Amino acid sequence: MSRYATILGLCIFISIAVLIICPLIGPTPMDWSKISTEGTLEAQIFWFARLPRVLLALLAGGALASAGVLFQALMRDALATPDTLGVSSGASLGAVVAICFGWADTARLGGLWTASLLGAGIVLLIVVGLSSSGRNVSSFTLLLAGITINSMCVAIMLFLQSVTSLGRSLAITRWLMGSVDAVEYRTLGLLSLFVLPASMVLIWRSRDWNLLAVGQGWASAKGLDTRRSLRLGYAAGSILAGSVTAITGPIGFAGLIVPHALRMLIGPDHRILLPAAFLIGGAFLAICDTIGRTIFSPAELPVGVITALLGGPFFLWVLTSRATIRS
Amino acid sequence: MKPVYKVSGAGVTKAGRKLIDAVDLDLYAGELVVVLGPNGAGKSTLLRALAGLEALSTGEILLGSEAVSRIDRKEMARQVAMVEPMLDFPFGYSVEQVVMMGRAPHMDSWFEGVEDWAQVDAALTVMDCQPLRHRDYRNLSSGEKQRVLVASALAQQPCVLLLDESAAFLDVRHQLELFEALKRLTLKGYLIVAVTHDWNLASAWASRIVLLKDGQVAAVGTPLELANESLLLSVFGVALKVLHVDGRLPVVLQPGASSA
Repeated sequence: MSRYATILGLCIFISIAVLIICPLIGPTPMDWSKISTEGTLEAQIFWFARLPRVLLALLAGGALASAGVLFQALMRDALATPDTLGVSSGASLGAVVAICFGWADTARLGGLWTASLLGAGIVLLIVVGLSSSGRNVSSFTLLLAGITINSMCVAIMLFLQSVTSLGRSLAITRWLMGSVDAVEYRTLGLLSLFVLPASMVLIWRSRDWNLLAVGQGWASAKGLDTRRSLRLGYAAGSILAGSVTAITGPIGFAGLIVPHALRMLIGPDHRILLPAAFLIGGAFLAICDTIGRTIFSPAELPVGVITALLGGPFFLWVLTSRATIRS
Repeated sequence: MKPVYKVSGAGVTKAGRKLIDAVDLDLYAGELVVVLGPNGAGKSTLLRALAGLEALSTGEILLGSEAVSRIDRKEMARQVAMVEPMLDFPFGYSVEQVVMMGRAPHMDSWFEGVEDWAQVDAALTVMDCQPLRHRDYRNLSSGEKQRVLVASALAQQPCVLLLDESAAFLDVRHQLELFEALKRLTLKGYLIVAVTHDWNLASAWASRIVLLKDGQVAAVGTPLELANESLLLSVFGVALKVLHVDGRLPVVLQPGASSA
């Protein structure tokens, strides 16, 4: 239990440090005495550009990493990602449709987000339908269904992108790059209404994911109603991935490497793994985004570029150093 | 005495194939029942049906006075623990964590309590797993894994223990220790049903043997009653030689290929 408290404390410390430090960093030189004065440029930049951006990164990264941990456990596959079921593709397709038909032009985020959530929701219903229709749906079936849904969504997106106007086609490309932008606090609030309850449910049911990570037969022999748990898990994980993708666009890698690195460092017990993934996943994305918006300023790199370039080598290092320790 | 399990006319059909068919069995507390039979005879299916993990297409299985199909999973896991053969774990749970998972049906809180640790400790000791306790399950040998899985089942504090080929990977000493431990549990009133291919292990320890063939019960009886060369020929399809050691313990010898 003391180990648990130490790890959790460390993760909380890291994400609070990120929350404090990241908004202080940026290309615009700041006179820090002015940020509490309303109407100044400094206040605008700090409260309405940098802080919401860091908050969004914390929330989005946390959600993606938690969903990654969960899907890897449920599918007993270390390579599963939050998008394995195709939910993020559904969200992307919704957004692309919205951009194509101009729903995204007027209401800044409203139309886009609604369409995107709808896309994620439809895919989620298909997946949950699949997992409750048969007596026993294997994770293999879900994996195949996810791949199929992914390719279908990509095909429709490519089709829409090629028939729409050049301007909208560019907007689609930009959206599909995936980025953490400054959003309104209202949007952040709405996103947390999806992300926080879903994460809480996942953490609350941690012991069930431990059993399911071993196998469905094992879990039911240990007294778990596996069908109900799987449905709950897939639904919560998809809500996490879908609602985040609806705002940020697809961000690769965060849902794969953070879960992995943490599982190697602190072990596979979901009671500690899930809270840690939420906190560290958020911190990781916020750091990546801070680097992305400062390193080549005034140009901004999409956060997905940084997650892959920064996370990839780190992940390889963790893999190799761990391998030598074990052998 | 009222049986723990009353199996009547039980059948499991999958993809048009009858895996077990019209099985009638009464199993009592304090028994160590060994299920023997050729590959595909339905031994594992019978075990899974007893655990409520396999839905019956005909007949019914009563645990106590309630149909297994109507007992909810958690309650079932408090009464019946099942050890399936050789599980591969995709993630690196420690031996202690694997055994602690056996406490799942008893745990309502998020953290394990004093009682849970005590039960895990006891189970690890019984199965001679204390030195393994902090090892990564995936790095254990097959026999060690099997012992850990049995320990995890014991941590469930069941009154019925179902073992599928649990002795297969164990060395002779640990086979003996496993069955000694099982025997002690039967003295405490456990019902133990074990599937194995090892006739000699069965005849040394079983209070009764159930012989399955093609999904049906071919014979039920004590090792002494069933150690009968013509019965074994009809069930296994090969001529086996039965010897009696000390005039009581039957030993089954496999003949050389020429005499088969």
